[in-house]
Amino acid sequence: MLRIRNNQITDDKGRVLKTLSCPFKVSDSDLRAGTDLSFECKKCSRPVYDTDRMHEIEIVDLLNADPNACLKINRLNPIFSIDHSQE
Amino acid sequence: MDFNVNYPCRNLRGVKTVFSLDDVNEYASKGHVVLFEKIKLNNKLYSTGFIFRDRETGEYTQAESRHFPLQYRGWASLPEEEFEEICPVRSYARKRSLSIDWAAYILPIDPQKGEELYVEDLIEDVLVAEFWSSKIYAVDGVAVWDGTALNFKRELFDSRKCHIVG
Repeated sequence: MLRIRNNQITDDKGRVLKTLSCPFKVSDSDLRAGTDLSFECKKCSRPVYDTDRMHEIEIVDLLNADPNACLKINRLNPIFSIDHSQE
Repeated sequence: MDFNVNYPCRNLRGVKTVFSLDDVNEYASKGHVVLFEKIKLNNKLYSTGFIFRDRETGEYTQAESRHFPLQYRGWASLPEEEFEEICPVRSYARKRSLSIDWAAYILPIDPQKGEELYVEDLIEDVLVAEFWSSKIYAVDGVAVWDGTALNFKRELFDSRKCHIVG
């Protein structure tokens, strides 16, 4: 399970994989269809990976290779545990 | 799958939900306001599918159809020559009693008009979102007491609040 706290995604060992941030404060309505695995951001044209369709290990591998990769995360995805106390 | 509202509820007084007249009478005798509500099943919380039997192993399995998408890309198939269709089935996402079709909200003592209250067990079945084959339904809520009824903050059930992009 991946934990999200203070806008940081950490693995089950507490290692920070990524800091969630977007200079354009994009929401899912700012995304258009892209490839099988990703959307395209309408603001900056970068790919935004759809974590609904990814195994946890694929997400970890992606972030290990590129911690700046953009992600779309469904709060209801059981892969992620979100700490609301910091919101 | 349960959906809990994201709202600062720590300082809100709570509304209980009861399912028996004994409980209703116990609270009513102490002066609590009681609000009865029918439990209406929501069609959107139903999932349909079929029971199939593997002709070779005899094992039974449930699937939405003979051909369905997989979460991590690709498709799965249950061809007729390998799988026998046993019967169509329907399942309801939220656990509900078949014995009674009503419940009652028990308000805290002396609720004030305009007071926000936290409802820990929602009587209404609300579909918030779907995640692949899972139905995500609200289990709690926040409502404002207007003197005669609870008016729920329905914006808290918004599925658009379900996504983070970054």
